[in-house]
Amino acid sequence: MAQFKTPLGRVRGKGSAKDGTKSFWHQRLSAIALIPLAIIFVSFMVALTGASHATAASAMGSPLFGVLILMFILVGFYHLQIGVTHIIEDYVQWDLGKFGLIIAVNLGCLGLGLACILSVLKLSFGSAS
Amino acid sequence: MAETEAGAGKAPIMRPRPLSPHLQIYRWQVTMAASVLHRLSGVGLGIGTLLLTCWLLALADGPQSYGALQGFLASWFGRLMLLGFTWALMFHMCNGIRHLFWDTGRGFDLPDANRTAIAAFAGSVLLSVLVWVLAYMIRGGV
Repeated sequence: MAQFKTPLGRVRGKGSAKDGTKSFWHQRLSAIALIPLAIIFVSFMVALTGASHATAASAMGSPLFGVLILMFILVGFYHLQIGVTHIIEDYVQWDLGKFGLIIAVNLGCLGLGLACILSVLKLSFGSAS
Repeated sequence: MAETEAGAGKAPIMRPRPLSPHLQIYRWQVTMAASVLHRLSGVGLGIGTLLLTCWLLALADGPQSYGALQGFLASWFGRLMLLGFTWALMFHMCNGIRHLFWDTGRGFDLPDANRTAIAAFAGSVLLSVLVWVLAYMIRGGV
């Protein structure tokens, strides 16, 4: 294939926009991290099938499961935000709607993620009634 | 050109432009189904995070909220949502592994792409069944 880039440009590995690969790369990194995290999350939820409040609360409040669930939540919402933003960018043609939806998705992921984190922390610090 | 000039004053009669293949006229193939369902399952999982958030909030809130939510999840509609969430997660994970494999530059041949798509579907169903069998065993066969 013909090379139209200068050697320096090739080494830097950036296109004309100078960025734009960040979300692609982070989507892959978070995807890899989510394989073990999702398996742990599903195993955890299976183990808690039909569990009483006391059992589930103490399990979720334990440092090991608490941290693993927090990692799943953080990486998962990050991955979700990248993916849904890509879908909106692909299919929504109307600029105002596109940016409105992207902002809504970002805020939604942030809000839901914070609600999850707050819940796990509350259980970790043992203030659940 | 002669035809358009003959109808002077009227808009030239245009043949309808060919449409690019889209969902309604494209023949369904397993690779295409996997691609469409990867995005759909991703959006579905996004909606499913509402359920996870509600569960964690209810758990942190106390036994009363937790009991109410568990009651809802035990209903047929709740179970259907959980089943959908399980399958979406398993399919998105299996097909995501397929995408990561593609990222290494391999598996783009049509026979390979077809085989891995079928494997992703089969894997997602198998894993979903495994999860639910384990869950019912732990719950004690309710």
